[in-house]
Amino acid sequence: MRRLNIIEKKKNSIIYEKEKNSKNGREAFNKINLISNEYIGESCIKVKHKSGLTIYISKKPFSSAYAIFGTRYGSYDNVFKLSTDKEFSVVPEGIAHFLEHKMFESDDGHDTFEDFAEIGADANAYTSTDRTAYLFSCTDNFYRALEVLLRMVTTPVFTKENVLKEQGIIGQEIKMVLDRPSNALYYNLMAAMYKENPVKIQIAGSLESIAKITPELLYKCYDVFYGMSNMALCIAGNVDENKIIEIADKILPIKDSSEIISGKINEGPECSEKVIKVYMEVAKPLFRIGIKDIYGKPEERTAMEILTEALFGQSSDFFTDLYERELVSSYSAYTEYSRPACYTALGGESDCPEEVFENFCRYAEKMVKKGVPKEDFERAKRVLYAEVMKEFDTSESISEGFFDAFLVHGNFLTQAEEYSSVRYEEVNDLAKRILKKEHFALSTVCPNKEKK
Amino acid sequence: MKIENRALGIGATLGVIKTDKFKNNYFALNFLLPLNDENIAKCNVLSSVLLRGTSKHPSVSSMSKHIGMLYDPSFEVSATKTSSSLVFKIGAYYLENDFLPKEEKMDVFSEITAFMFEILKEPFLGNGEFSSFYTESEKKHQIDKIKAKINNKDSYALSRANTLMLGNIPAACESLGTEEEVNAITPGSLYKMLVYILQKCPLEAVFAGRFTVKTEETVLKFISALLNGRKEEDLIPVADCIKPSFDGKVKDIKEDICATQGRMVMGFSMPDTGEKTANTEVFNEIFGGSAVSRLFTNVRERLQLCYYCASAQNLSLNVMYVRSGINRDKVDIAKEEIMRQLDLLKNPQNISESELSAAKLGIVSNYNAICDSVVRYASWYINRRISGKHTDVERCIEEINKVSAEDVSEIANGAALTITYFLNCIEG
Repeated sequence: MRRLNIIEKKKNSIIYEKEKNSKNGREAFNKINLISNEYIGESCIKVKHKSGLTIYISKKPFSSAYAIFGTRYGSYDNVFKLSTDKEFSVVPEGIAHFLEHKMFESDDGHDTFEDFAEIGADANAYTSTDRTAYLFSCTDNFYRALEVLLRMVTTPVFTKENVLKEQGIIGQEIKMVLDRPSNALYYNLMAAMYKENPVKIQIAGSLESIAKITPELLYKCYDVFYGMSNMALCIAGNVDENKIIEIADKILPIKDSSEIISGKINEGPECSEKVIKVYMEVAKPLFRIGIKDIYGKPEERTAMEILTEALFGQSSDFFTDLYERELVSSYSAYTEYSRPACYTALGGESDCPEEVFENFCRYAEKMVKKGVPKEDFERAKRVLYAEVMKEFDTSESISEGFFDAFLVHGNFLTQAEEYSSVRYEEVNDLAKRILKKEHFALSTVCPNKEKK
Repeated sequence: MKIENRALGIGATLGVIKTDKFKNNYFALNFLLPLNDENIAKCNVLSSVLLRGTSKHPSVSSMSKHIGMLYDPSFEVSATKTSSSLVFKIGAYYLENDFLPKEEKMDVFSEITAFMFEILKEPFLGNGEFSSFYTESEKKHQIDKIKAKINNKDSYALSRANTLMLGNIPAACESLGTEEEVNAITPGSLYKMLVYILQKCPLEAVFAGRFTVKTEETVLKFISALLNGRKEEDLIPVADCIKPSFDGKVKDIKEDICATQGRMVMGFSMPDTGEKTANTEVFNEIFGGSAVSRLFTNVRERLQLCYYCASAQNLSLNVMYVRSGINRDKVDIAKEEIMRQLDLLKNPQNISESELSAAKLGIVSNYNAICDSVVRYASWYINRRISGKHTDVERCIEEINKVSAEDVSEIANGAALTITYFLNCIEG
C-alpha cells in the first residue's frame, strides 16, 4: 500500500515523501522515497540502501549522466577516532588526498581510469577540506561505468610499491600548486584566521608529510571513513533507479560502522594573525580578506550567503565604490559554512590591499550600526535564488548539489526557496555577530619586485 | 535539438536551438571583426567601458544592481580571439519566467534585451564620446590584466609558445591586446569602434532554450532596432583563417621565471585535413587528450616525470601543443618520451582496437554532451559558424566513428615538432 507523508508544506510548494513500491522485491531492505518540489518542477528518488549508503537519483532528460560516489572525509580529518576506540589517531597531513589517488589502482595493478575510458566514461576525483569524491560522466554504458565506480571505491589496494610510486606523482602536484598565487592567498588567509583548525593545511599535504604515509595508515583511514553510512551516491541523468539499486545490491558491502568522532580543536573567535603577506611572481598585489565565525553552523549558510551577497557581492556598495575609486579589480566574495569551518572571504587585485582592508573595516562597522540596506537584502535573495536554479540545468551540478546537501544534512530541492524564507532581522543579527574587527584577517601576495 | 538558421536583414543571422529541458535560456549577439592587435585592444576596453554605465544607469553600482534585480543573468560583454576573427559578444544566460518565484510577474527576456539595447545604443557619453574617466580607468584595468598573465604559469607558457610559434599571422595576436595598443585608445576612438561594430560587422545571433512566439517577437524587434540604419555596402566581409607556415626548423626557447616548477610546451605543425577534422581529434585523444592517453600513462604514470602531460589541438590552424609542468632536470627525458610516443603512433599496428574504440567513445560522449547545456551548445554552434564548418552534431559523431587506426597513424606521420618552449624556474 502506498503511503503519502507530507513532511513540509511551504507557501508555494508541497514537498513530500512517499514510499515507492519495489518493482522486483529486491529492495526489501532498502528504504526508497520520492522527494519532490512541485513548484520548481524537480524530484529525486532517495534510497537509504541496506548497506547504509544514501543514494540520490535525479531523473533528467539529458544525454549525459553523471555519478558521484563520495565520503564525508577530507584534509580536515587528521585527528579522529571511532566511538568504540579509546584513543584518537593522528595521521599525516594530505592522507585523504593520497588515498583518493590510490583508489584508482586495481588489484592487478592497472589503472581504473582505463576501465572507464574503455566504455567511454570520463572519470575523475577530488579531495577538499571536508569531502572526497569519485565521479564519472558518460552518454553510453552508464550502468557498466557505475559498476566500475562502485567496485573501485569499495576495493582498496594499497601496497608498499604503489604508495612509493604515488609519492613521486603527488610530490609533483604539490610543487605545481605551490606556484599558484591563489593557493598561497587561500592558505595564508586560513593560517591568519585559524590557529589550530586543520583547514589551514594544504589538501595535498607537504613533501615531508606524504613521505610518512604507509599502506597500513591508508587502510586505517579507509576503514574509518569509507563506511557506507558516511557516504553518498548521487546520480543525475536519463537513468533507471531499479537498475541502479540492483547494482548497489550486488556490489556494496554490508558492514556495521561506528560513529566517527573528530579531534577537538581549540580555536578562539579571534584571528590568529591580522595580516600575512608574501611575495611571488605576480603582476600586481592580490588580496583576500577573511571573516572568521567560530560560532557559525552549516545551517546558517543560507542567511550568511545573503549577508555576503548584500554587503560584499559584485553589486554591493562596498565593491562598486572601491571599483569606481580604482582601488580594486577582478573581485569576488564567497561564504563557506561547512563542517570544518565557517567563514566568509572576499578578494581581488589591488595596488593598495591595506587601504582596501581599512575601507572594509570601516564599512563593516558602518553596516553593523546602520543595518543591511533593505533593497540590497532583497536583491541578494534574487541573485542567490537564480544561482541555485542554474544548478538544475546540468547533471553535474545536480549531482554535486545533492552531495553537498548530504554533507551538511540539507535539502538541495528546497534550497532556492530557503533564500526566500530568510528574514531580514536574521541577516542583521548575523551581521552584528560576525562583523567585528577581531574576526577579520588579510592575506596578500605581492610582486617579487616590491620585495625590499 | 536541431538548429534553425535564419537571415535577419543586413549582415545578420539568427541560430535558434529550441529546447525545454532547462530552467535557463541563453541569448547572445556575436559581432565578427578582423583579428588584429588594435581591434583586440579596443574591443577589450570597450566591453569593460560599456559595463561602466548607460544613460539610464550611469555607474557600475546602478548597472550591477539592475542586473541583480533581473535575477542575476550571467551577463557578458566580451572580446574573444578565434583562429580567424575577433568576436565581440554581448550575451546573457537567464532564468526562464516559468521558474521565477510565484509572486514575480517580470518578463526577464524583455528586460534583458532592453538592457542590451541600452548598453549598445545608449551608453554613458559626454560630448558624443565615452567618458574619459571610464575610458582611462578601463585602460588601466586592461593593462593590469595583460601584466597579470604571468600569474598563471601554465597559461602564460602556452601563450608565449603560441606567439613564438605562429609568427606574424593574425592568430598569433595576444588575446588581451598589447599595452601599446591599449595606451593609444581615446574616448573618441573607442566610441568610433562601437559605431563601427554596429554598422559594419557581420552579426551571428544565437538563442538556445524555450523559444516561444513572444520570445521570437522580442528577438526580431530587438535586432531590427539595434541594426537600424545599416547599409549593405558598408558591411565588412568575414575574414578567412590564415594558417601558419613553418620552415622545418625547430625553435628551442628557454625563458626564466621565479617559480617552484618549470613549464614545458612543445608545439607541432599538423597535417591540413580541411573540414575533415575527425582523424586529428581521435589522434589527439589517443596521444595526449585524456587520462588514459599515451602521454598521461607513460610520461606521468610510468616514468613519473610530471604531474600533468597533455596535448591539445587547434583544428583551424593545424597545430598541436603538448604541455607539462616539469622540473628542469627532467626536461630532456620527457621530450624524448613524448617524441617516442608520437613515433609509436606512426605505425597503425601499435594502436589496438580497444584503444581506438575507447578514444572514439570518449569523443562521441563529449559531442553528445554538447546538447546538455544551452551555453555550451550555443558556443559550439557559433565557433563552428565562424570557422565555416557544418553545425550538425550527429554528423560530427558519424565522422568520428569512421576513423581507423590507419587514419590516426597518418596524422601522427604528418606531425612535426616546430618549437620547444621551456619556462624555467629559478629561485625568487
